Amino acid sequence: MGYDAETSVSEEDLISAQQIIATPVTFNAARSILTSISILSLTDIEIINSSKNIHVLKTNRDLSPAAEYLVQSIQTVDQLPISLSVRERISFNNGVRHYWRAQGRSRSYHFGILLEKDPWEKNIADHNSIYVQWNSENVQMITGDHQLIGGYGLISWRTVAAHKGFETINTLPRQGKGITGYRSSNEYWCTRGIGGEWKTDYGQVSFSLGRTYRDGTLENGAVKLDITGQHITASDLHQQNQLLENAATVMWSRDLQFGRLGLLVNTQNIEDPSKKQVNAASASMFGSKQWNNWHIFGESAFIKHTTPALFSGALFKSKALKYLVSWRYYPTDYRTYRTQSFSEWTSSAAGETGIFQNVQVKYGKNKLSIYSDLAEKIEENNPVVYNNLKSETGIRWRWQSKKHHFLVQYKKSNQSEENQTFYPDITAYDSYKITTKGLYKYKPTRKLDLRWQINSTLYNDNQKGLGFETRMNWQTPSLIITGNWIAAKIDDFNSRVYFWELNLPGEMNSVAISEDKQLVGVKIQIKSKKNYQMYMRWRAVWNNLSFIGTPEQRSALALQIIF
Amino acid sequence: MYVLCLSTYLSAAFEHYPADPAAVGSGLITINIQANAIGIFADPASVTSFQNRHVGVSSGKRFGLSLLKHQSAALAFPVKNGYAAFGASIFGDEHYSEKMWCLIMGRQFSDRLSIGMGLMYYDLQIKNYGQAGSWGINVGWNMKLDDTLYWRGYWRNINGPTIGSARESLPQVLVSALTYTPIPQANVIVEWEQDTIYDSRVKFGGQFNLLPWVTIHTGHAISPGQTTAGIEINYKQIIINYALSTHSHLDLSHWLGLGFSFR
Repeated sequence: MGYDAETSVSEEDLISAQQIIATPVTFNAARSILTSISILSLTDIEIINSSKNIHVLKTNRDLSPAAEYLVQSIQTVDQLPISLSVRERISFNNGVRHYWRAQGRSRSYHFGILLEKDPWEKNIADHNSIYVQWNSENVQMITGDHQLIGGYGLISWRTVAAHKGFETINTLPRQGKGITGYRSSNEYWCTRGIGGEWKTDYGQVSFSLGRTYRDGTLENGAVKLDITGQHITASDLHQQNQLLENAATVMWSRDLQFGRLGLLVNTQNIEDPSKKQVNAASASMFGSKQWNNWHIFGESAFIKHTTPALFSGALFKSKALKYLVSWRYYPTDYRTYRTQSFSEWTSSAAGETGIFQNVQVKYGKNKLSIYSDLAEKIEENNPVVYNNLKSETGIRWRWQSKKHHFLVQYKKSNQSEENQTFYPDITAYDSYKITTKGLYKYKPTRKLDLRWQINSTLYNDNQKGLGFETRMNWQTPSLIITGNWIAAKIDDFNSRVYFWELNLPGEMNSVAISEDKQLVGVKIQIKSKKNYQMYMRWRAVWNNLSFIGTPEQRSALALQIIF
Repeated sequence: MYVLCLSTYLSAAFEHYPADPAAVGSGLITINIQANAIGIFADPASVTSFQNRHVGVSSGKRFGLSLLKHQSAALAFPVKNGYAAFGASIFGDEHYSEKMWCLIMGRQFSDRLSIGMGLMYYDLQIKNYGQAGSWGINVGWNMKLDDTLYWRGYWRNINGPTIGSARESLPQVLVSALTYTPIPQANVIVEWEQDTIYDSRVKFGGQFNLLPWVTIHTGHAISPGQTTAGIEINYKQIIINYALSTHSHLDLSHWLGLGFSFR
């Protein structure tokens, strides 16, 4: 999909992708699932929505490689009276993580159940989530855990914001789709209650009413959320479910003559066990407009006691060229309800202003991507206002044929830091980081593909990290074996390098290597004709470059069944 | 000796669950492979295996110690829209005893999926000290992957029950198992058991029909290492089982079971 290993991809997208790949679906269901995947571009979504049947969709040659892969995986059925998929995953890595999910539908009802236990947690259902959704042609109702995804993330969004990188051009212009069942294992993001959506002649109206217990405390009138999802130590348990959030959100959006317009309003009340309360209200207006080859979009959010937060962008699309420019301004302390805006800094106290650009050029088998971001941090509460600056630039060239795939990329980020010894002696200095990546993939036969990748990081001229990966993938109709070997020489944590893990379904983990290491891993996938799949992963990690000593071992098992 | 037993395997109240000797002999697994009514305590989805009324009783001593003796009885039967079972069990002696009552309901949703749910009542009595009780909920599943492979498992005490004024947590256990039937006369089972406080236990074992009326079992469990063996004799509707398990520091444990199927 073109994502670097240090990028976060939302679990909802992975679940939807997995659902499309592994489960037979009706064409309408496939369309609904595909359009909910946030990493697909606006062009992909337009093609998917305008396709009359699966044959038209599968033969379209304008889809992006990621969308094409998903579309080619679809197995359509005319009618699906009942469907159920169950997945269990057990990971042994410094303790045992257990994950059990069931997802299904029967007639107009959809449901999802998730039970998850992190390593060393003592409750087998430490994180539990359930929702039931009823759909008709124009009405949708959800009871249980849900989320409302609206606008461009300034007030209410999914668990992960649009990432910053070479593929941002696809994700950033995507507007929130409305109400949806909550499927992520992220433990601090859902709203528990009821939600609904109506499609009327006057637009689409979505609402969410939630009464959700959250981890954290109220300190000096401010909400301090514990977002780790870990409930192991006495301190963790002391904060578990200590805050009760009552929230109401309403969103309206409609396609008008001049474009799409929407309004989103939220009010929330958070109370701790001593009955101390924090109240907040927020509202936003968002919209988008298509104008020839340009797609213009934006959102502005209003919160009490702060200036409005603003986000806007413009996307130019042609067959050979795509260009995106986006501007943002978030004041300090503006974050509210489920804010997940496109930003450099995520702390609730920090505001920022920034401009982002991304361009993609296609020429034959070549694809060139460039992005650049310039951001300034706003910390008005500092004794001395000192605004950090951060700039990030990247360039990537990719050439792909049926058998060969080359990729070279270079990224540089600069950040001004501050070093406060004794007030007011604040000194400023710049830090920078350069990461480079080279990849060659060779597919000699249909069954085999080989990949070599080299990643390097240079931090402030004196800390270097270099990693090399060899990966092999061999597949037969009933078996897929993937193996990799990673060797990395790293000076310091700041010069760490990232590689993708051998991921099981629903995972998108990466391996961050911050000291000299060698890692050897193998993943085996057993595919059955009877709609079940088994996965095993084993990895050995040596903390040196010479295979000396007993390696640390990690493993995982997963089983997935489709009924 | 009692302290040693507690620190090696029976670490807290209600760690001991009634078990079918056939499953014990196959590596101390807790999945109810032989559809003996005693197995419904731990594996509630197995209640859907009983097309006829079945009664089972079981008795034994852990590590050969009288103070760790146990007796259990259960009855499983089909009902109008599914399957049901109930049972009772006692573990310990006159000074310390753990009693358990269960009511199980199960349903087969298709030929590939069965779900079972158990309501448990735990009753702890310590002589001259007092008594305490608690309710627990067990949920289990049995899924047919293909004609030879089944995925089975359960969550024990999913509601997180506590007991006594100190509100001590009762054990919560996750189990996931695969049973494989390579030939009609034999089964192989691999089970992963995770008590949320202790290390994982991986258990594996098998059973083989030596004669039409004799089945033998053997298996092994790790952490701690315990090897097991057992034998089952079928005579008309009567099933007699015996199983034993070893321990690296303690004496042998014995289980004896009797089952009757009303056809």
